[in-house]
This record gives sequence, C-alpha cells and structure tokens, in this order.
Amino acid sequence: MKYDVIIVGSGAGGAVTALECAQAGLSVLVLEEGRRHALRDYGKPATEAMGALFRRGGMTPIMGRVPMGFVEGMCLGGSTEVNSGFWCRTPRESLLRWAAQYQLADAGHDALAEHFDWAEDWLEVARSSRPWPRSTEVFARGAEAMGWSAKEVERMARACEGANVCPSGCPNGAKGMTRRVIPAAEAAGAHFVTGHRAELLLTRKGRVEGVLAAVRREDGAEELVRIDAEHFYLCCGATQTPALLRRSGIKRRVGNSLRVHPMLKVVARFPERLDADKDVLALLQVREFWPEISLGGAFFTPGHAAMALSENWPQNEPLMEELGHLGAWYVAVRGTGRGSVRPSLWSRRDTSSRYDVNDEDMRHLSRGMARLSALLLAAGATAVYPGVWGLDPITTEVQAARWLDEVLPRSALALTTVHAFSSCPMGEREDKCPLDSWGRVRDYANLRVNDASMLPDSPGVNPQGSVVALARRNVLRFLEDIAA
Amino acid sequence: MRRVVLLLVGLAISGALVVLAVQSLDLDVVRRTLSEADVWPWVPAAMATYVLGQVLRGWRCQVLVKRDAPLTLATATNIVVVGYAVNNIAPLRLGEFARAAMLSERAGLPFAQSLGVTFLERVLDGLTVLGLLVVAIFALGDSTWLELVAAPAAGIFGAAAAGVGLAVVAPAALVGIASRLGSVLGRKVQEVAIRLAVQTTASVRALRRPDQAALIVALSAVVWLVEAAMFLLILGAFDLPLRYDWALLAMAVTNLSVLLPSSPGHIGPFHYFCQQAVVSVGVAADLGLAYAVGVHLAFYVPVTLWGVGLILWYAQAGSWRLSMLRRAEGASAEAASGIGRVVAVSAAPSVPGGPTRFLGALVGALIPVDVAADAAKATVTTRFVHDRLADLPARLRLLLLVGLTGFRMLVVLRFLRPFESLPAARRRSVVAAWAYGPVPPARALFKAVRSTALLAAWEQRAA
Ligand SMILES: Cc1cc2nc3c(=O)[nH]c(=O)nc-3n(C[C@H](O)[C@H](O)[C@H](O)COP(=O)(O)OP(=O)(O)OC[C@H]3O[C@@H](n4cnc5c(N)ncnc54)[C@H](O)[C@@H]3O)c2cc1C
Repeated sequence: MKYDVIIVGSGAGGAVTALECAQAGLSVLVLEEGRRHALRDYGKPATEAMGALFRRGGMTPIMGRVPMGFVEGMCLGGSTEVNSGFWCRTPRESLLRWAAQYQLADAGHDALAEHFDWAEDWLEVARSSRPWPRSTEVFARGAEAMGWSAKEVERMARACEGANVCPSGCPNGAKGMTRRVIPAAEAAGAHFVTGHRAELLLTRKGRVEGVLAAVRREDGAEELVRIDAEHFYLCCGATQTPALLRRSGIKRRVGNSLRVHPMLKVVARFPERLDADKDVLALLQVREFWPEISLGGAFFTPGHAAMALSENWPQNEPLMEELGHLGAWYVAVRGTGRGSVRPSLWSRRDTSSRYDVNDEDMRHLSRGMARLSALLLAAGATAVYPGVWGLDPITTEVQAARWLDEVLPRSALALTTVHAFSSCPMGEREDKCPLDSWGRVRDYANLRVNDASMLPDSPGVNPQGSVVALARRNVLRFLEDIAA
Repeated sequence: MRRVVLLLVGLAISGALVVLAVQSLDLDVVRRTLSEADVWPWVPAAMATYVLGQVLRGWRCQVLVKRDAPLTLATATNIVVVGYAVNNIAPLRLGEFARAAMLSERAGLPFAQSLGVTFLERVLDGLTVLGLLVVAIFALGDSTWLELVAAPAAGIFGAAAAGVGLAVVAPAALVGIASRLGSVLGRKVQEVAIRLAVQTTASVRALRRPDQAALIVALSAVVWLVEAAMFLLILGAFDLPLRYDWALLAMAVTNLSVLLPSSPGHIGPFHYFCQQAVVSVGVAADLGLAYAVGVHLAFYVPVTLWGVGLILWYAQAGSWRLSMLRRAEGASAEAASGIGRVVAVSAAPSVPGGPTRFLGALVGALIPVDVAADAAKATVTTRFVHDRLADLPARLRLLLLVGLTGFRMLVVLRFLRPFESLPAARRRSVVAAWAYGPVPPARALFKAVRSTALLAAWEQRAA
C-alpha cells in the first residue's frame, strides 16, 4: 500500500500535521520512534522515566566550548509529552527578523494569528486556575520589588493538578497533544505506529519514494521495513530531522545552524517554606529583558535540586537538609551563537550536535544571572546558589550586581537547554535556508519539514507555540497546493 | 582523452625529472647518506611539524567557510588532509576535487562554492609561497630562482589573485558577466550560469570582512613558515647547518615546482627542485638528493596514512546507506509487514553487561552516605548511572572510558591500590578532588557520573 502522506515524528509539529492531513481526507501514516504509554505509566521517578520517555535516556548533550545538557522527548507526543507546557506566541520582533534576514514569506504577526488561535483552542491553552504555588508567589514578589514586568505564562496543560512530575509524563493526562490532537487525528483516520524509527529516505530524481523504518520485534531482532508514500513530512525535532536528512544524502545547508536557548539555573533559599517539590514549577516569567533574556521557574524535585547544586556540591550538600526552603529558577537567553547537527560517524544511531556559546550569550547569561539573583534576594531569599563552579553563594544585591558588568567564566558554567531549533531554517534566502518559506526541502518536490528545526532562528520564548502555529500554516498551504 | 594526455605528460615529466635528479650521481652514495641520516629526533619532529601545518590549514579552511557552515577544527583539518592524501596517491591533482567534494559533503555547501574555496586556498598558498621565496632570495642574495621559478609563478598566481580580487570587491559584476554570457545559450543555461557565479563568489565571502581576511592571510603565512620548519628539521637529519633561509628557499622552490603536472605524490618535480634548491646554496648533489628524499618522506608518509585512514573511515560510515538502498530496491511485495515491505532483519543486539565493581565504588563515593549504606538504594542508583552512561553517544563513551581508565591508573600509582579497595572516606576525598576540584577537564570527566548519581540518589532518598 502507498500512503498519501508519511509523517515522521509525533511531537509538536508531527501531531498537528497529522491532524490536518487526516481531516483533509488523506491517508496518513505517522512513524514514531518512541512508545505509546498509558497514563498509569506516567509520573514515575526520574530513574524510571528517563529511560522510557527521553531520547537515549536524556544523555544527548550538545557539545561545544561550553557543553550543554540537552534532552528531548521520545514517545508518542514527542517533547510535548515531557515538557512543562508553557505556551508563548512568537514575538513580533522575531517574526520581523525572520522576514528581514531569512526572507520568510507570509509569516507576519497577523498571518500567524489565526493559527495561534486555532492551536490555543485545540490545545486548551490557558492560565492556571489553581492558586499560585509558593515558588510563584515569591517570584512575583521579587519582580514587583524590582519594578520589572512579569507575567504568568499560559500553559498547554489544562487538567494540571500540580503533581510536579511534568518530565515524567502527566498521570492526569493534562498534556494537550496526547489529550486532544493525536486522538482527533486518529479519529480522522491517521495511523500512528510507535516503536518505528525512520532510518533512511529513499530518494530518486528530486523526489522521495519511500522510507526505511526500523522496528524491534518481540524476539529482539530488528526489522527494516520499506514504506512508500506520495508525500513525506519530517517532524523529528531539531536534532533528528537534520540527522535523518543528512543520513539520506540530503545535505545542502542542512544541520548548519542549530540554535538553542542556553539556560543557567540557580537555587535560592528562603526563610519561609516553599515546598517547591510538592507543586508545579513557578508559573511566572519576567518579561522586562525579553526576548534576549528571560527569567522563570525551573522544575524542582530533590534529585533536580541536587543536580542544580552539584557544581559546588561539597559546600552545598548541607543545604539539601532544608529542601522545603529551596526553589529553582533559570535565566535563559536567546542564543545568538550557532551550532551544527551531524549524524555521527561513530555509530549509526548517534547524532552529534554542537553549539558554540558566543560572547553575546555569555554577556546575557551573566547579566541575567545578576538580575535573577537580585530579584530573588529582593523577594526575601537569604542566599542564591548559581550553577557556576567556584562562585560563592550570592547573599546581597550588590554582590549580584557585579555580574551586570563582568562576564562569567565559560569553563565554570553548567548550562542546560530544552529548547533547540533552526537546524534547517526556512525562508527564501537560498544561501541560508535548506527549506523554502513553507517548509519544503529545496530540490525535493514531495519532502517537507514541519518541526522545530524549521524556525529561522531563536524565537527567544518557549518555542512550542511557534512550532505548532507554523506547522499548521505550512500544512494548510500544502493541502491547498495538492488540492489545486 | 584530454585527461589521459595530461596523465601521460605528468608521468613523462616525473620520469624526466627523476632522471635529471639522479643523472651523474653515484646512487650508492645517496643510499648510504640516507641510511646514515639521524632519524631521531629530526624526522619525527619534522613529521609532527608537518601535521601541525595541516591543522593550521584546517583552521584556515574553517575560517573561510565559517559564515556558511560551522565546521569543527577536526573536520576542517580532515578535509584538508584527505585532499593532500588523494593528491599523493592519485594523478591529475584529483586531491583538489576530493577536498572540494568532501568540503561540500561535510559542510553542506554547493559543490561550486566548495571548489571555489579550494581554489582560493590554493591561490593564497601560491601567493604566500611566492612571497616567502622572494624573502629567501633576498636573504641569500642569489637571484637564480627569480627567473626560473618566481617569475612564472608570479604570472600564474597574479592572474588568479586578480580574479579572486574581482570576486571579493565586485561580485555583482561577475554575476552580471555570467548572466550575459549565459544568455547567449538560452534561459536555462543563463540560470545555471547565474547560480554558479553566485555560489563561486560566495566562496570568497570571508575575505570581505577585514578581520577575517587578516586572519586568513596571517594563517596562510604561518602555515608556510611552519612547513619551512619541517624542511629545516630535515636539514638536521643530514647534519646540514640549521639555516632557516635555506629551508625557506627549499620549501618555496619545491612547493612551486609541484604545480607542474607529475605523477601522484609529485615524484620527480619534488625531488629534483628540492635537490637543486639546496645545491644552489652549496650542498653536494648526492647529499641534496638524499635530503630531498628525506623531506618527501616526512611530507608523504604521515599525511597519506592519515588521509587514507580517513577515507576508509568515511567509506565504512557511508557503506551502510548504500547497502540499505540496494536492499530497498529489491524489496519484494511478498515480504510485507503490516505497513510496508520487509527489507532486512538483523539479529537481536547482545545484552549489555551490568555495572562493574569500580562503577559501584565510584557512585558510592558521590552519593549521600546514608544512601550509599542502603544496599537496595545504592544498587538502583548504580544501575541508573550505568544505564545512562551506556546511553551516551559512542564517542563520548569512549572519551569517558579513556578518562576513567586514566583516573584509575593514577589512583593505583598514588595509593598502590585500586580505587575499589580504598577506604570509603579516601574514595570520597579522591573523587571530590576530581569532580569538584579546580581542573576543568577533571570536572568535565566526572560530570555525567556525578549528575546522574546525585539525581538518582536524591530521588531514592526522598521516595
Ligand atoms: C523537558 C522539556 C521541557 C520543555 N518545556 C517547554 C515548555 O514549557 N514550553 C515550550 O514551548 N517548549 C518546551 N520544550 C520544547 C518543546 O517541547 C519543543 O520545542 C517541541 O516539542 C518541538 O517540537 P518538534 O515537533 O520539533 O519535536 P518533538 O516534539 O521533540 O517531536 C519529535 C518526535 O519525533 C520522534 N522522532 C525523532 N526521530 C525519529 C525517527 N527517526 N523516526 C521516528 N520518530 C522519530 C521523536 O521520538 C519525537 O517523538 C521543552 C522540551 C523538553 C524536552
């Protein structure tokens, strides 16, 4: 059998693409490498969840002058199933930059508004209806004391009950993609097969004819299956899409411009109890320095607190006895450095990703840390513990202010990121973009990319909103094209 | 046909120059001089210097394409080395094309642009070597080589540099010329001509930024000064005076001479001109030839081995794709699974082993004392760390293995006991010194182990 459309990946981009294609009456097959999990399997401790829900158990660092911890989801729903659900529209400024620098056509603020409206409706994006957790309250207090604008961020987690297990999958089924979009796509006829990894695209004369997918059988052996279709969508995320393209011999400008939001975490100790491990993470983001620098709440459990304190562990370990008084926050910057993604030459299954934190990123991270620390101290924290090796706890705002002008040493930083994109940017600039303005791979008539890798560069805000809205915009255009 | 002619001409020139080089020499003397050369430390030092030169060339290549593709220094160096190695084993300077093809493949650049970059590198090399030749000629006060080598080379590289200069300052003009010429042959040809002109002019983009242009020119100079250092070190192997002006002259004359068509590895021109360069400063002809052979070996052996190794490595990485494509072509409709046709079945992978005693001890030294003392929790933590480390990409796993092996060896040297046999308190202090100490690479080595161990241990503790 030959499908109308094969979609590889069922995350933010893939699920929306599948829904629209299926609703348009096309025969749709979605290949997903990860598994489909029942709600009862969710919310497990990190020791179980990491292996089950994350690509390579979460051990996929992005290398470079400052290596960065990076994780991405690998299950039905992709990273949306393990993320915290924060939802932002693409800032107008980013859209303007994309138009100016990448000549991205028809993707202005107004053109995208209908797709954001649609997505927010489908994914039940909303502010929390529950009382703010203590970690949010103190953060709001600090922002007010500093006189900075801050906002509770809407989330794609309507049924959130504050279980504080976001990265382990929501046992209450709050995540919008598996709660609404994928079931609707299946109801419209899309066929989601999990445990199938797309290994190779079969190309001939500027077209893709089929895909080779690996599937593990019950007996442990691996079967390679050839599946053919008229059209192909790659929605494997910012690292796997370029890796699959390059492995398939499609290399022109592919994987040359990986961007991330580098993130530095701090832990703060408050005199009052926050019990941050017992409720959802802080819901507020400081928008004052946005989109270059954002400040917000980080996921907090005893294990994550220990990791965040681990750069200076011998000094920080005693703090763990006061866990109830601790909370974790982050400074994230709109990365302006650039990286790359390549399939590894060492192993067929590995991908090697690099990103070079540049001087501007370093300045923004340092300033962001100064501001975040000042905010937390203004909120009443007794000390702030940044994830920077050799840096003493910051106990006064004046100490924090030092980093407004000085730059943190690269070799002492512990950076992480969960926001990666732009490895195959779209736009009319052929010298920069392997995809046209609608996600079609240049030189291939029936191959498209519709995931985080298509974003021209860093949006500066939580990216899933941008991915979903642009994915819908692109797929509607594709449906129009084939109807014509 | 043209290629065959060129190949034959090259071989003929090689042959003729070999004859010229050995003519009227007592080859036994040459052989004896070679066998009596002081290999140690000169030849290994010369080879290492040559390798350093390749890394510098890689750096330059990295800067040249930086705005289009972020190549690592290792990849960029490998690209350069493959080009040199192919030139050493294949005729017709095919290495230049191999280098451009590999640059295009690794960097994802259009081939025309990669070829343009390779051409630019060669023009920069030519101009730099020419400049150094003039310096050597003035330093030695002997103008023999001025007419023989410098003048023709100046003609060739001057013309090439003018073309590059035009592409740098007036790319639009070149595109315009291409468009006009192409239009004579119809619209399609015109489009292709424009595209090629745009891609080719993009290859000199780096030179339009003064800071990058300065770095590229400086790197070109350093590359060839380092290459001259290799020629200098080989002088030492033959007990010749260590004169940098001699080395500079020999390096420049030899490298300009290999512009002549010749056999793979430039046999003939390399030896003859290198010999003649040192003869012109007063070295005996047989010693000069032995010197030329020595330099050629230092130039030929490491880079050819390195390049051929790389070619095999890249070939094995690409072979999987080719074999799968072949199988996919032949996939029969009968072998259908639920959604498609089965192309291949591979055996179940072997089950990886469990955590070692060393890993258990290492994890125990990183986690809270009470979790370490609780056998069940310690086991879960160690298992988790083991599984996560096994999930790391193969290259990082290898680095980790090498690093931890080094750590274990240093522990044995220092305490005369393996890490696992140290008392628990000692294990903790040793690990803390590495994992949280002032040496960044040591901290980096322990990062994955300590992060996963702390995560699992504290989740266990809270459970
Ligand atoms: C822990 C975490 C927290 C985050 N928090 C937020 C947040 O709060 N707000 C926000 O906006 N963003 C957040 N993000 C980022 C956001 O989730 C991603 O940007 C978004 O999901 C990207 O969508 P995507 O479609 O590109 O990829 P994904 O959603 O990652 O989906 C890709 C899917 O493709 C599958 N796949 C990959 N390769 C293959 C293959 N070869 N064959 C078959 N299947 C394949 C993967 O298994 C995966 O399921 C977070 C991410 C993580 C990991």
